[in-house]
Parts: sequence; C-alpha cells; structure tokens
Amino acid sequence: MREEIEKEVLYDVRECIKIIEVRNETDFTQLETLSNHAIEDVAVYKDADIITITVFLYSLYKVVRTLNDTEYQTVIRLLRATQRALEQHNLGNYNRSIKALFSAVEKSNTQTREHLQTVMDAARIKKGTVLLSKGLSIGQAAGLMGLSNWDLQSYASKTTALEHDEKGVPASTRLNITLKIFGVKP
Amino acid sequence: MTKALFFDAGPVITLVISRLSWILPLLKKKFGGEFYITPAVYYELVERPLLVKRFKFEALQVLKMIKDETLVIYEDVPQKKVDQLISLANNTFSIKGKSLDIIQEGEMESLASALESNASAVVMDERTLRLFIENKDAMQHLLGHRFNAEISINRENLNSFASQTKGVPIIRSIELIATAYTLGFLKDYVPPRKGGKEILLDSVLWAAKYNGSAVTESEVEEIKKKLL
Repeated sequence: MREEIEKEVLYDVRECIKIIEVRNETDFTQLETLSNHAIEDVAVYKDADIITITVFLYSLYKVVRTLNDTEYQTVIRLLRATQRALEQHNLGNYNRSIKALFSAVEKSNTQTREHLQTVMDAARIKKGTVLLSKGLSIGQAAGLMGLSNWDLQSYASKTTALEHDEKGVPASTRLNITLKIFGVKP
Repeated sequence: MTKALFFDAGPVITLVISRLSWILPLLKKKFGGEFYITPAVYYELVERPLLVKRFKFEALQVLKMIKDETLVIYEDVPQKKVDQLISLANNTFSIKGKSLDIIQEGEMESLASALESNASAVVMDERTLRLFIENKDAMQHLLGHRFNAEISINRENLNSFASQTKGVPIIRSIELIATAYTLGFLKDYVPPRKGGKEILLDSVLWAAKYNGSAVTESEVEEIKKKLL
C-alpha cells in the first residue's frame, strides 16, 4: 500500500473508532459524514484500498443501529486490529482484519437487505451515485466502484445525482438538430 | 460527412430500460445511415450485464439489435485520438496535486470515432462528457461546486480539449424519443381522451429522464412545449 493511501485509510479507521467506541445515538450521522468525506478520496486516489474502506464505512453506517452489543464490540475489536496492522505496515494482517470487518457487517445485514442486494452492493451503488453527483462520468464512477453502467444509471437516474443547473446546448436547439438529422423539418 | 450516429452506452440503456428500444430500427430506417457502437460500448451493453443477474435479459435485447444490424460494432476506433483526448480530459482538473480522472476511456471511443469519421452526431446521455464538450466553463463550475476540496484547472488542456471536440453535434435518448413521437412512431399509444398526446409525450419523456437521460425538468417542459 502506498504511504499516502495508508495515511488516508488510517485516518478513516481512527475516526471510525473515535465515533463508535462509545455507543450513542449520534454514531449514525457521524459515520455518514465520515463516509462522505472518504468518497472524495476515491475520486482523487482511484485506489482499491480507499474504495474498500469507503464501502465499509457506508455499510457500517447502514447497519450500525441494528448491531447487537456483541456484534458492536466485535466491530470495534476488528477496527482496532485494522488500525494496529496499518500502524505496523503489516499488509497481511490489514487484509485479514478488513475481510473480517466485512463479514461482521454482512452477518448483521439481514434487516437492511435492499432489493436482494447485500449492504455492500448497495453501498457501492450509493457511493457511485455520490461520485456522479460530484461530476464524474457514469463510466468513471461505475468503474471505480466496480459496478456496471446499468446498475449505476438505473439507480442514479431516480435520484438528484444527475440534476444540474449547468447547461450546454438549449434543449430546443438540440431537438432541432436531431429532427434535422432525421430529415424532419423542425 | 459520414452518415452515421455513434451511440454511447447510456442512451441504449435508457431506451432498453424505458421499453422504447423498438424505436431504434424505425429511426435507423428513416435516418438512412449507420448506428454504430464501439467495442467498449458493446462490452458495457452486452458482455458486462450478462454477468449481472438483474440485467441479463436487457443484454440479450441489445444483442438482438446487433444481430438484426440495428446497431453495428465499429471496429476502426482511432486509438491514438482516444488516448490523446482521454489524456487531455483527465489531466485538466486536479485535487491535492492529483489529476482527477473524470471520463472513462470507453466513453471517449464514441466521441473520437465520430470526430475522426466526421459522423452526423454522437448519441450520449452522459452529462459530464457532454458538458466538457459544449460548455467548458459549466464543467469547471460543476466540479468546483460539488467537491469540498479545492479544484485546480489546467486551462491549456481545457481549451485544447474544447477546441478539438468543438462542432460535433451531441444528441440524447430524449431527443430520439421526441423525434420518434414527431414521426408518428408512437401514435398507437395515444390514449383516447382529452389531452391524449400530451399524456403520451409526458409519459415517454419522463421515462427517459427517470431511466438515465441527463435532462432537467425545465428541458422536458421545453421539449414538450415545442412538440405540442
């Protein structure tokens, strides 16, 4: 893992631990804020480890309120193990901890299952939509999040992600161009 | 000019999901030229969704359009031009000293092929690349507003990209649908009631918007006003 990536992932893991180490009602919103911070790093670094931690943070945000105490403590323990692995630059331990974190979230996923998607799939689509709203193209956003354009386009078009005030050619002009191409008098 | 339209993946996805892809062979006949997709677009429209349970049948619908020669795979993609344009586009904006990749190579294939072959137009629902070509200041505004971190701009690249892509007409799936309506392809769907044409037009234009055509509500209204 590159040093700058390690630094960003470590920041996210430390912040995540700070948020959840004492369980309270604000965990939920703070995790959402942290996952929104992390998504900009996805666009900047285009790195698999950044994407993984971003997807994890969003997944945790989705399930955190449904975790029982044992599951909650497991997540904290695994996050601390992840932090240690990063601080010691131990990539093998880091990968094992991250994998275990995803399993812990996945296990508690039954209550948050959306349209037969796992919470991780849903997180990829949601975060891909955020990248779209920030101005990345559909292909770029889908590619970064490991999605097909079909997945992202069908979801994002039902949100405000593609809404924008910035205009190119006026719609009536574009329609005239199209009609002319097809030999129809505008 | 080559009588051809180059389709990006987005408009085909919009039309298939909106159950309106059947207008494409009729439009092609009226157009009298080719409807091309590049190999990268083919991959995104057919090969990729064949791996996704939810979109397998949609992939087969596109495959049928290729079998019927409604869509033709364009093999002469000018790779050098693609590389040059993608390099310009993805080295124009940067954050924290790192260039921001905003366009994917596959998306650039349709544009580069259309430019090199002097095609009639590119059909593209994708907002980012369209804005980049048509209104570079708006593109800058979009990114600058949506990222929390400060965006730096390489103006030389921005201007070079804009000048090289200037003049290529870009149309969207929503305009194809509006054209199909104008040509009477949708007339069997007009409901037998007062304001029937408006109901039909509303239904198909909003279907396009909610299935992927990057179009604003005011643009939908503008198109409706023009056609009714």
